Amino acid sequence: MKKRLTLLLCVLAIVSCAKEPETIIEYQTVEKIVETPGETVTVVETVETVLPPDAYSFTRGGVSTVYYSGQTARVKMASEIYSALKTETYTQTQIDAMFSLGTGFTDTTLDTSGKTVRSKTASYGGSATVKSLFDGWITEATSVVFPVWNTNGSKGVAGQVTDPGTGGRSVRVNAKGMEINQIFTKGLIGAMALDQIVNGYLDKTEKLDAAQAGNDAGDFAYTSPGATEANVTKMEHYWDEGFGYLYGQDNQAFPALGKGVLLNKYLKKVESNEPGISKNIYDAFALGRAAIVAKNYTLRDEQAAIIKSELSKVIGYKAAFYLRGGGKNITEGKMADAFHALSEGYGFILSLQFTKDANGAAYFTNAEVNAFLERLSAGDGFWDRTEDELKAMATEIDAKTGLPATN
Amino acid sequence: MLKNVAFCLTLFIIAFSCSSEDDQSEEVNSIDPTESLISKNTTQNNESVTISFNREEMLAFWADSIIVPSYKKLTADLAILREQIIELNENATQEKLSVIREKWLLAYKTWQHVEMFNVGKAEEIYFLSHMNVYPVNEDRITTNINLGEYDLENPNNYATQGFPALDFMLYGIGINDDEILEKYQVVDSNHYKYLIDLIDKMISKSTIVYEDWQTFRDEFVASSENTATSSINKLSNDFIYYFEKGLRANKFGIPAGVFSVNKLPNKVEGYYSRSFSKVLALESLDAVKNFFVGNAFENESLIGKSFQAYLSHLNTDANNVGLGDDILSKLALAVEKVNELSDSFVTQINNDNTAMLITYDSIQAVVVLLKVDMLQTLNINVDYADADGD
Repeated sequence: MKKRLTLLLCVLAIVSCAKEPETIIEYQTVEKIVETPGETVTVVETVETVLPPDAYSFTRGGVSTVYYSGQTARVKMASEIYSALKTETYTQTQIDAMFSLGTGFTDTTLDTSGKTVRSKTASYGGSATVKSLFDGWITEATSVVFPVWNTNGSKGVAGQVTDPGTGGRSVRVNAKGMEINQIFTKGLIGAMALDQIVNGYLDKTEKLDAAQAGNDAGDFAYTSPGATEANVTKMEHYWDEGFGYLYGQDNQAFPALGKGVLLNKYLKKVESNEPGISKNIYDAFALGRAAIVAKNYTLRDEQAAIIKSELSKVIGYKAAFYLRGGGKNITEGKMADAFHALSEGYGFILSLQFTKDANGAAYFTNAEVNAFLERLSAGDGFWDRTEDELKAMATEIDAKTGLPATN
Repeated sequence: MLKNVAFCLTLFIIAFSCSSEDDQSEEVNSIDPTESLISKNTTQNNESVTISFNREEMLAFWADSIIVPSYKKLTADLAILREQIIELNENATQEKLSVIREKWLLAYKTWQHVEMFNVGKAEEIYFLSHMNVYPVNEDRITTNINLGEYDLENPNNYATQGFPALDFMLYGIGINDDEILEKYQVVDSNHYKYLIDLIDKMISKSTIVYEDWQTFRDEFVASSENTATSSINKLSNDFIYYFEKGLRANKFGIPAGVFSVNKLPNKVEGYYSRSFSKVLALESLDAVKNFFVGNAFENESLIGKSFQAYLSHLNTDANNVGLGDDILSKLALAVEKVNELSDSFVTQINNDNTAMLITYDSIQAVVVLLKVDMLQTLNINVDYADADGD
């Protein structure tokens, strides 16, 4: 039986011009003309299709339902912990408190936020064993690197290493040439920012399914700032929290990118490798959120899949990029530059286990990451690496991520 | 910035297409800066009007009247400073300290004239890094003094030597002059030994560079072609790099907080003496102007070929004809702004950082003209890039 289906799209975009747009979903009326041999049946039905919103901006009763102050607090904390790990006057107790207790920050509003970074580190993907690595790095920075801040480092000896010439970089490294603040922060990009989004808040089984009944019923579980009573469903808020791990230090409606020290900063850099990637991600966040309001979970999951695979690329690109860059630096005799790049690479490789590609799988398993990092730090660590070796490792990463080499 | 580049590109295209129209009649206008124009006043077709720009002559002027004399003066100034420092060992008086400070400032001012010449031996031995890295690393200097043993060749020690370290040793190691003098009152104290090691290192580096110029000079002048490694390209890049980093960023932008969340007054040049950051900056701007115009070192009435002459030679089309004057008038504006600042940039930044930022803007306006317009005209590529940052 041959059926010809003609779809006449009659777009009735309801563009609201009100100051506080109440319209969250724009509707399309779709007229279907179904022709079968012998007879023509015209069926007119209204199909609700969610149109992409212009910005990540959603209201109910004129009040914004979007908030993610907890995420903003955590990404800001990460910025301060990064600075502390580069400041030799901090003690282990102080940095431990910042990481695990969420106190001791220069920005005192963070101290009272009730949030911590550690509780959200390596929570879902990869391995739970990753969490304690971060504690170890705080110990190492404060007890191994800080005491030798102003003495010369060399192969097998922790200390300062500076590249010759004008503007030569100066790094403070452990005996293997590792810059702990870089490993820690780049590791946190995967273990916190990405993991929370990709394997937590935007994950069906982990978070979203459990919130579906409430979303369907219109149960409000959270009260947004400015509202007098609960006005946000659980599922809406979960999605916003995911959004916050990427845009917590950025502008909600017009993200500038490059903010803070985590995923947002590196998304901006990857934009030059893959123009349009950041817009894809932002648009998917916005459309996915609109889909939740419209209770269209298929559309929501399609957008989640885009966000997950695109954000994972940031990690994939940068892991290979810094290995190649570090290799070049070694050949040029710029060891401080090399150690810096390889420390960043080390953190990004650690982060690979928290990624999700288009098929929903991580680029690297935890075991693969560990084996890879062991090779990177074998012997006297970065002092022993060669450009050829690092190039080969970068090529291995490219093969797994399917991404093109960018340097 | 992009707009500027596009604009210049457009101008360039216009200029290019115009010159191809009349390259028959206007031989003077179609001089390609990529050609080595050593054949001055050739009698091609009996036309002696072909005025070529002699680039070797420019290089010779740079070497003989600016670069070598300024290096010579620097080594002489440092030798005078050393004589005074030696006397401090047995005569740690306020008078001696004042004389040393005075000689230090004189040498530091001369330094402002040579920092831009990062070619030849200077580049090879990382001369700049041994002479003017600031802010200093106080902790490391203290460690060095206490240990009495240090390797000033190790890049880790760049921030513990040169003029900024002398600034610290002469002004920063005590809360007042009595306390500073105390550190030198024991003969052969570790502080004195460090001070003498610093000046010895500066003299040895400066002497190496100065002496190398005696032989390097001819090689430098002969390299008049336009390739990435030729003298004009390298020195033009050094000149602009210096203006952008050494002058604009180090002296103004970084301490004023242009590149950071907060202002950083402890990063000014001459931090410990508190009163010379402006003098040094003005000296540096003067050095830039002199080099651009082609004023001989310490003899401004002697004018030779330099960027200004080269630009007016190349910029024969109406649109760009005023570039050299433009650069000079913008430079004069920047000097005017600097003159309005406090002698101490620490004071200036703490009291009215806006004036510092406005000054920065006026210097930035010159950077754009030099880096985009001038290099475009000279057909020279920028050979340095901004660091990625992370």
